[in-house]
Amino acid sequence: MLGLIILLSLIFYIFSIVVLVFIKFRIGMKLIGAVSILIIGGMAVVFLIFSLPAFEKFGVGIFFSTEWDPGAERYGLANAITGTLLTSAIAIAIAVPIALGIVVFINEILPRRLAGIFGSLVDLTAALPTVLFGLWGLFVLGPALAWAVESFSNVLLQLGLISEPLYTTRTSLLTASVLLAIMIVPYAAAVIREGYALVPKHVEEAIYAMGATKFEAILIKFRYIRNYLFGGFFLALGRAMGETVAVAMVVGGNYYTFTINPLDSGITLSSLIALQFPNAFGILVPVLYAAALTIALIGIIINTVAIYILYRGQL
Amino acid sequence: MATKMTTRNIAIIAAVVAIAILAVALVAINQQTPSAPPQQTPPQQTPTAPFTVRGSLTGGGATFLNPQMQAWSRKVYDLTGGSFVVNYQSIGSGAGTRGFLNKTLAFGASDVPMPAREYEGVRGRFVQFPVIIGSIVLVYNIPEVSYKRTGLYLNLTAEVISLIYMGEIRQWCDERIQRLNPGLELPCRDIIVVHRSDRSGTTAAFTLYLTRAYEPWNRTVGWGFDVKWPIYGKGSARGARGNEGVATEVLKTPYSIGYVEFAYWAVNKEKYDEVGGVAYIKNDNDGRYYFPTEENVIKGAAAGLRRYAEKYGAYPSPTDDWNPVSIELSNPPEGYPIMSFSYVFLWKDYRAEGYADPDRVAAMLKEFFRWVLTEGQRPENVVKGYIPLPRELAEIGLKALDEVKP
Repeated sequence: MLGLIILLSLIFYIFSIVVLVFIKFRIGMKLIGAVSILIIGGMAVVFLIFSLPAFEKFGVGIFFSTEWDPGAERYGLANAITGTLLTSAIAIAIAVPIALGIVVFINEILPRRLAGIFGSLVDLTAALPTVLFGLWGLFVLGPALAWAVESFSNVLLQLGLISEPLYTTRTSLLTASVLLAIMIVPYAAAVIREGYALVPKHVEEAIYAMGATKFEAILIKFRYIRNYLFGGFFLALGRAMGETVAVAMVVGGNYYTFTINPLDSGITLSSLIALQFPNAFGILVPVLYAAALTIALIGIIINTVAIYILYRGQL
Repeated sequence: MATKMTTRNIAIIAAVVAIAILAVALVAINQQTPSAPPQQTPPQQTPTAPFTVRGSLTGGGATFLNPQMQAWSRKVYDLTGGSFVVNYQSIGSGAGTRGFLNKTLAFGASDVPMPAREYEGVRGRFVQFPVIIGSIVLVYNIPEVSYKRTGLYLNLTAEVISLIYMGEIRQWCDERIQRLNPGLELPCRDIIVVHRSDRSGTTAAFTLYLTRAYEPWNRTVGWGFDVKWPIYGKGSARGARGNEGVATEVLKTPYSIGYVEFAYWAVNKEKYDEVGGVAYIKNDNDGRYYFPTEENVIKGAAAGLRRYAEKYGAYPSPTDDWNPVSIELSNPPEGYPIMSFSYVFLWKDYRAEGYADPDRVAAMLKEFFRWVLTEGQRPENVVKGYIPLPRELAEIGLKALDEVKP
């Protein structure tokens, strides 16, 4: 069935291109736009059909149940949904300030010639295979974070602020979040940098003519390009929620208990699918499709909100 | 005018690309072009006796079996001068079983026998038999009592392992561990339990052993590709991806313990000896401690099979449900008790199942697995870390091949 849908989309796509080339350019472009919507819609429908057995068995409760008991074949997605939202939120909170800093550094501080090189280097990190990030997270970042948490915990213990030492290891939701933050910085930075470079010269001159300090000028420029900030933010958020391989390596794989403590090991939706699918039998397969559907739904909701805010008044 | 020309050019290029993609996709759908193993063809060898058919076929399944299957496949490829190609896709036991049942794969391979529910659906139409054995070892990281420092490995029992994984034993210096290891002075540090975070046959074999050997584990946890680890909420636990993930997690995390396939310990033995080591496991049935050596594992497999024969009156047949067999093989009367078996699934009648070119596929499968179960079990053809089948088990596989038509 999946093959049929792909085939139909392809035929429709080729048809649109034929229209575009030989008949009418504008109609062709519209048709191609329709293809992309059809493909996304078709994917959601396929996920829904494949996940139906899971909904029949668990109902909508599958989204709210924190139970994960492979022996009894009772599954819920709440732990993974929480993990996804938690890691993305922490990652965004870390990544956006860094991305802003990089943009300012490149545009305001570095000499023009170095700026180009540095900018390309930042862009290049976005092209690294994610498995490299995963390995680096496992062998460098994870141990470093575990050490940092332990030291921090010791300081807090000395000061008497906590009674139990904080505990973590190399793999945890925190490691996953920080790794994600590092992975999404180039995406956010690229979009924001693009906008920053587009601030017209006369606007910049007007800002300085008003007697603004450099810091104030930067703030005003960021306000001027808020659409780009917004775009970078949501692109990075989308990346953070969908990242699979690297997260699966460092997240710790705790499907079994609900946690909002980032020092614990946990699970995210995409890593759940990556880790569980190869050896999935029976009802677990539709459950994993339900997880895929959930990622798609969260993505659609977030993008709808983003588009709404953007259109509501050009922000 | 110029812009119009460029847009038109771009559109034409896009159309060409789309058609090319479609063509490639169609070709890929229609025939899975076999990619020969990356190996130079040795200078002209005539096909040796056991291989009379030419061609290629594709099977897939358990990732654990992959290195061994690739080695066998390459050996056969070399023996026949490249005319006999067996592709093995390392896609996981579940996906391999699904691929076999959907008939997209010529054979399936799995770390567990055909699950009971699926077995009922195809009962009598297929055969299953083990092709190789793995053993699962418990590796630990306790720098104070590392093998290098003390010259001793830890002794463990099913009960103690269960209690550690249940979070009942929280520290290494716990009386129940210390009692088994009078020669070692164990530190009072919290135990960090490492388990597989992906569904795996290794977890299935490990938890099956605990289920068989320690009744409270059977009552509260059970066994499977993934279980609800009781440690969560009680002690410190971490999941790691793949055997290699658990192996490095234990190497890098002091005071941790984890279970891995024998091979992952064997290749890193020196490193483990620096920080800890590998445990002797007590076989509760004969009361002796066993080190995970090849002889001890083969001894265990043979003893388990004998126990099955005593209980059910005969050796298992390839058309039987093998789930009871795998249960009898685990925690055997003697020998090293934690084993995992790699099973292969073949259809009895490839023509009736609707395969393309069924006679050639069936003939190739029979020749290949006959070689695997005889020559393939010789030490020079077994990859380090895998354990060849005892003769009794290999003969069950050979019997299975006789049932495959023609």
